[in-house]
Amino acid sequence: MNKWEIQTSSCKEIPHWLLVLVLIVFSAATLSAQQTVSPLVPKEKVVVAYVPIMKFATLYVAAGRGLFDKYGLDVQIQSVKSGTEVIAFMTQGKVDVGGIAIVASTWNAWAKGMDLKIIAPGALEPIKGSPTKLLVRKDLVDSGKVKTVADLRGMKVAMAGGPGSGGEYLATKALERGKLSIRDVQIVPLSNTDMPAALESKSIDAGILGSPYADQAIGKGVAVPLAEDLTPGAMTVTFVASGKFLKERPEAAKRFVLALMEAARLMQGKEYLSPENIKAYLKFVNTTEDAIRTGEPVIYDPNMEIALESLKDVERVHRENRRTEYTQPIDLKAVTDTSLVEWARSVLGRK
Amino acid sequence: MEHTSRALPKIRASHISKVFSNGKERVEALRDFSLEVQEGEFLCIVGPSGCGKSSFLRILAGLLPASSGTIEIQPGEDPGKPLTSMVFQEYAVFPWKTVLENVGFGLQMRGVPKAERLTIAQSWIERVGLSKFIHAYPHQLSGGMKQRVGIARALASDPEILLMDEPLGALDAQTRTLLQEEILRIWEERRKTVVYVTHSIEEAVLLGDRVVLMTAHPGTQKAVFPIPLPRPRDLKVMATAEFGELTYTIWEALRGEVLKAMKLLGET
Amino acid sequence: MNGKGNPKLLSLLTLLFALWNGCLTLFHGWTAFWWLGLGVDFLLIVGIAELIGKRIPPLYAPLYRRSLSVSFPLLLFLAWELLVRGGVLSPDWFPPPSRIVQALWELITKFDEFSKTSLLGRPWLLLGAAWGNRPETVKELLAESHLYATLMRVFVGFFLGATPGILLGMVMGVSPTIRTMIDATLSAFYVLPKIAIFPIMMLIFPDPFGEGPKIAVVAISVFFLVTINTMVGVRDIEPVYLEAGRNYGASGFRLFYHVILPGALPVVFAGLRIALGTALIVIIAVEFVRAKTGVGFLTFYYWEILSPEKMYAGLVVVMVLGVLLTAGLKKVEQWVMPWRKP
Repeated sequence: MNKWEIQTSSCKEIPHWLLVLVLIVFSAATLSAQQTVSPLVPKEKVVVAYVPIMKFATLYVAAGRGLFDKYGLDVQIQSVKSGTEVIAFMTQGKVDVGGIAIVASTWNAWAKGMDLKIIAPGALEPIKGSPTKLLVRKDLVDSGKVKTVADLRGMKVAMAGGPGSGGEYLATKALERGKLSIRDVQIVPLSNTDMPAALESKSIDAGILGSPYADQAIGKGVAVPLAEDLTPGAMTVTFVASGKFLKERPEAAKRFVLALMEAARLMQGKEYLSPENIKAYLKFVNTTEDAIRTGEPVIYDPNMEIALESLKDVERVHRENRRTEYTQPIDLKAVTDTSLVEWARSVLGRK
Repeated sequence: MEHTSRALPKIRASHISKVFSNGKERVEALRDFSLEVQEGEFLCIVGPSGCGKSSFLRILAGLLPASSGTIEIQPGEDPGKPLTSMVFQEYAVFPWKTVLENVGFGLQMRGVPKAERLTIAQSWIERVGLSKFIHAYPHQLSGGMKQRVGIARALASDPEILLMDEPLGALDAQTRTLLQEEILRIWEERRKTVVYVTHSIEEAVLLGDRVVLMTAHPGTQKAVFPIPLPRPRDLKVMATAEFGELTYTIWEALRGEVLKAMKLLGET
Repeated sequence: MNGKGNPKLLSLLTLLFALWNGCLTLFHGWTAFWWLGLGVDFLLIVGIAELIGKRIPPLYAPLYRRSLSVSFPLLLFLAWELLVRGGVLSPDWFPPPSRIVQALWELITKFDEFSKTSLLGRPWLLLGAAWGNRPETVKELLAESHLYATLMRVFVGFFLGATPGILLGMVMGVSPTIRTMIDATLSAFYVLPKIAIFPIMMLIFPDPFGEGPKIAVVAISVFFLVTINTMVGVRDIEPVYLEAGRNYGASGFRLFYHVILPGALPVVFAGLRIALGTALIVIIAVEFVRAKTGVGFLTFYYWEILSPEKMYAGLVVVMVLGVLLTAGLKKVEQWVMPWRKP
């Protein structure tokens, strides 16, 4: 339970002057929040595994700008290849928190009853102007063969990531615009880097390309966008913690999320590209400063709302794609723990 | 070729030399080696190991070119027959061919029609006592049986000259004796010209009409011993005093060579 | 007593075995010391098996040996099952054999509606379709089977790699000129991990995502192995066979056919056996990341969507494939070389 709830629930039995007093004290506490949350002594170790993409930038800033240190956390960060590995390590107690995409494997893990909880969102997809687009070969548009997404039926559509991946979610969402499923086209798993060349050599007809490859392909004149802003505002990557960590070391978990949220607030607007932040990004993601500057304008929600509606849609898509080993929807309450972000918001105040 | 009425030797090897070289090293295997073998003669060559006797046999067989010198072999009346056939050590029978196929191999290569080839091969297999194993593969045979196949293979192709390269060298003592007896018996039937290389003096004296003793490094002819033991021979001859004397005389001549060869090997 | 096995020792070992396992279970030692427990169990079982072996009458000795080789893997599975059931190993990540068998059964019987595939497909419909001369149906049925996809890639790739490999190897074995020219280049290519050249293969073929590049990497892996082994096989032929062949009048093609080819065959087959194993390893690795069908794809897919039982089931299929393919090649070997000691 968080402090805010305890204090409001008890307000009925106490006199009004006391309530006023409490309110004054509380707002004072909010203004100087950082002082009220004490660092852990001695420092506690938190092992974090993450897939090295920019969408976990809050983690990099929290680590790179000393926010974890401030709260007495000794955060050890390991990069991994796939989320499945992170899940395996978390259930074995080798990893406390994972920065992973919510994909078919995550849902299957929950269906198996593995004790994992979403504790904070990663970056959200932008509402408008996402550089990730569904592109189609220009010659197919010029010849009038493809006018809408629905015309892609039976064609070769490339996506990054394998079956049940985030890439497949994106592809499904794109094809849904033309009332197609991924069964109605020939899906070609291909890395983003290979896609412009594949479009040029006509070995694929369409593809879902991210930054900067989409612009590359369009610039070369080999492809044109067929659908844009495929998943506005979607939450596809999250921070997931093991149940053991949450139960046994709640204070460390709370401070971990607090640091993340503080980091998110250091990344708003122009601050996103501040030299300190860029230094932090480059420490954890294998990329260049240029790539970061021109990269996807994703949303780092300063309030870290866990977007349940978006989560529900991700779950539905993977289940309907039959990438899951179960058939009934999963109860999202059971797989999320919003109390940590709520607490952090109460400490930092809503923005 | 000049033809004269005078009986020419079946083989005339004159001043044969053979040098092996592989860039850095030069090994002189034979130096100025000359030899004549008469038609129907059983000639044995004895010498310490490495004396070039096997090389000489391969030069005779045309498997190895001589570095210098000439070889003359009188062809027989039938030009289709091979000049030489070689009996190697027993492992030289083809493991991938049956006894019948091995024995018929030479005939097959010469293009003898299948039916004729089988008849000839079968009769030779019978003569060396392997009728029961006619369709067996060599891995099913003992060492002695394999060498019977090797001998039958050489004889079946009916060569002008039979060359034998230590054919019994790798066999155990009993098997060797049995096969020596068999070689004697078969040879007496046809009296083919034979050049037989061995390191056993007893074997050479038992089988040969003449024994040529070779020296080593380089291989040259040291002495020739006629063997005046009566023909047809069998193993009984080994019990005679004459056999013992001949063997001892050759051994006396050979001993120095063997010692020299051992010393050379020890030094290098 | 000598060589008969000591009955007292045998009962002592059996008692020790029971005591050791009993104590570990009683004092909950398995969780911490399961590897030590299994290690000691293994040694005790070896001792017991050795002692029993000495007491077995010679008549039944071969039967006893065979039963040992069969029961050892079964014991391993039993140990695994017990470790999982006893809570020592996590059933999520090391599912017990019983669940793997169940998953395997599911892979075989359950038709995946989404991708329209299953592990084996529906081969029983195949015969009818072939009989009824419906090539379209045959094609569709084959496309359903992951096993067929893998086997087809292995077989076609193996054949396309082994045939030129044997030819070139023979030529290199016979001709010193060609050998000196090609040998170094060949050795250089031989060590390349073939999976690393997969992207290049994709560039070469008109359809980079079709079967072409996959078959090509298999063929290339097989080709180098077979070429090198064949060359060695030809070069290692006993010189006396060649002398015998030539002395009896064989030359040119006849020498090759009657002497060189059969003489090199044992080493060629040794090369083919390694190449077949490698072909399987390579195609599974390629399927892991670059295919939409095949046993390797299936295995990795079930790991990626977090269904470990089925991943293990996929691995089991790969192992069974390996055993069967090797055994099959052995049969071919015996058929081609009846002269070899069995």
